[in-house]
Amino acid sequence: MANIDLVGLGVFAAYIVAIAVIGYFGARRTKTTADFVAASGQLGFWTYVLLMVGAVTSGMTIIGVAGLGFQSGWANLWERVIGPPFAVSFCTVLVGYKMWTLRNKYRIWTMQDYFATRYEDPRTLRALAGIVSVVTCFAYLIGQYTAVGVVTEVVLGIPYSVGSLIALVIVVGYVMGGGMFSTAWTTFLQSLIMIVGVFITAPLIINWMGGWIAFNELVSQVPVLQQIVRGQAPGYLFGTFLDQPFGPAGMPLVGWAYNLTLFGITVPLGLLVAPHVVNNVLCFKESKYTRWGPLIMYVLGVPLILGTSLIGLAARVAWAQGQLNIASLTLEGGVTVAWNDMAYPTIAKAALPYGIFILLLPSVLAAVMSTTDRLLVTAASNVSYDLVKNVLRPNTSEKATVWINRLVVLILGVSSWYISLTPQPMLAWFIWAALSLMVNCFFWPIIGGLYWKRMNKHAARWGMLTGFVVTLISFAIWGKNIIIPGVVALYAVVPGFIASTAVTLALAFLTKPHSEALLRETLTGLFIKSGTPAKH
Amino acid sequence: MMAFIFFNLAPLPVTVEGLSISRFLVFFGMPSLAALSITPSLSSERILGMQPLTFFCLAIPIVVQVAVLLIWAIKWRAPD
Repeated sequence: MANIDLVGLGVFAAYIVAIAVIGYFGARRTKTTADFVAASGQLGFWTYVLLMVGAVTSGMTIIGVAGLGFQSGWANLWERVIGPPFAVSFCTVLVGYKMWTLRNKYRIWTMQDYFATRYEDPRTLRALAGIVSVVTCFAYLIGQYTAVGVVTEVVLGIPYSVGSLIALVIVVGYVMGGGMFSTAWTTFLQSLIMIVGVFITAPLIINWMGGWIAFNELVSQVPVLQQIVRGQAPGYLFGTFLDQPFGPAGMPLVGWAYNLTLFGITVPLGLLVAPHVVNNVLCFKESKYTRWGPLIMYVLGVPLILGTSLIGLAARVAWAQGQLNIASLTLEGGVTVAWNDMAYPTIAKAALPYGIFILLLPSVLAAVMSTTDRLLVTAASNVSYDLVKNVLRPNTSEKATVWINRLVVLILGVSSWYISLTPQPMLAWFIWAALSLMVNCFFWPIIGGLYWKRMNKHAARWGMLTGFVVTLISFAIWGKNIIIPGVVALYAVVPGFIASTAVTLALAFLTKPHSEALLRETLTGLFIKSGTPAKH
Repeated sequence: MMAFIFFNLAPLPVTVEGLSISRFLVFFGMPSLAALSITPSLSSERILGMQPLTFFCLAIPIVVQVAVLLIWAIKWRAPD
């Protein structure tokens, strides 16, 4: 505690106060369940755009993507090409455009509302989807706190548990009070801080490396440098693949098959149908936001994630040169942060002027809180609105529903924080596991529901359940990797994806589709723009 | 079409020293375009530490997605 940075603490406090004030105004605006769950569909253009960017730019994006850039360089570029920016942009195009009309027509506030309407299944499928959503959001939540721990220790010198507890208190406070309004308005500020933070620090760090030419040259020299300077083999930590788009099929993480299953299926499709992302497209005010919004999200998101990965790669080069020593960080309670996840804070501390460096904490906090608050609202809505109000006790009053929301936010926030105090693996892995559940449970019910007329409630129910169970079993049996030695290495999402797809397709073809009238009313079919049927 | 878009946009970021796009264009048989691109003297055929194939794996999907989203915005009309 003796090494606490008082200036940094001041910046931290200023950020927290700003968020608390915004959260307070959100709370004053929140009166009804629809306000709490979906801001009653009243979000403006920039609030919506930055909400989408903020919802998928988590602590993992800032700390984890830099860690991945450090570890595997460009061999995982697919995460940047078809990762979070792709997901939010195309979610708005493929899901948001149709959903806007359906929301106004049927008062759809959550993904589960859509399932109940589209599949004429107001209880079973709604309850199943609600439970699955809570579980996936909870898993995603746990992964967020490690990032806060890393920066509060490195930047401020205060213990992980204290730093993450302060963040928890603030985020739970404003979500309990203001639900979606507070979440969206605070995310507006948080996204701006994140974007500015990365856009400023990336070029400064490259300059510290000696500029773009030096960086460009040195990346190719990493295998030699790490052998001479660090005494490690050229291939150590994927050293020979840093400048390549992928490795051979048999390699975990950088192999093309692994890239395909992790960054071709899990990340883009998982985020595309993630409950906390899909629910965002039910919150904006006017349909015209779906016009330029997707392009702006993409244009903001790609440089953000590319800049972060460049910082990680710069750290790898500096480490190989011997300019930078990166140690794994052991937090109190035995939580060990993988050393590659320390790439960003370590190089930032070495390369950035002090005045810029202390802004790293608000940037990471912004990333963490902007995702955490959205996950909390989503999970709370699943319990109070989908399970209690629409399945278990339909007579629950508006006021009681809002209070149930608040209670659930508190329970989920505190319990996920408590679990995060026990050792976690590399930050990214935990979040990818949550995304595996999301893609295997929700891809077919949402995308199939919107674009395929044969998709029905039996296919949605059993496909979702199969995806959930098989994914959990896969991770229990294989962990994260499925490796056939010398042949292929795959990410463990594959069995669940195959199983849920097979069950969904089989039941969709074997059982009767819903009535043509319902399909027409719910805008189901191979078209995006309503009123323009597909070409068959 | 993609090559046209790419090679016409490419000189823009190349003003940042170190992006060896001119060598790239020569590599892909487009020396006249290479002569037009603004590039400082370079000792590398890499861009941001990427091999040529890697750069294209990054750039082409991004350009395609931007193009799709741009076309979507231009062709957009309000829902019924």
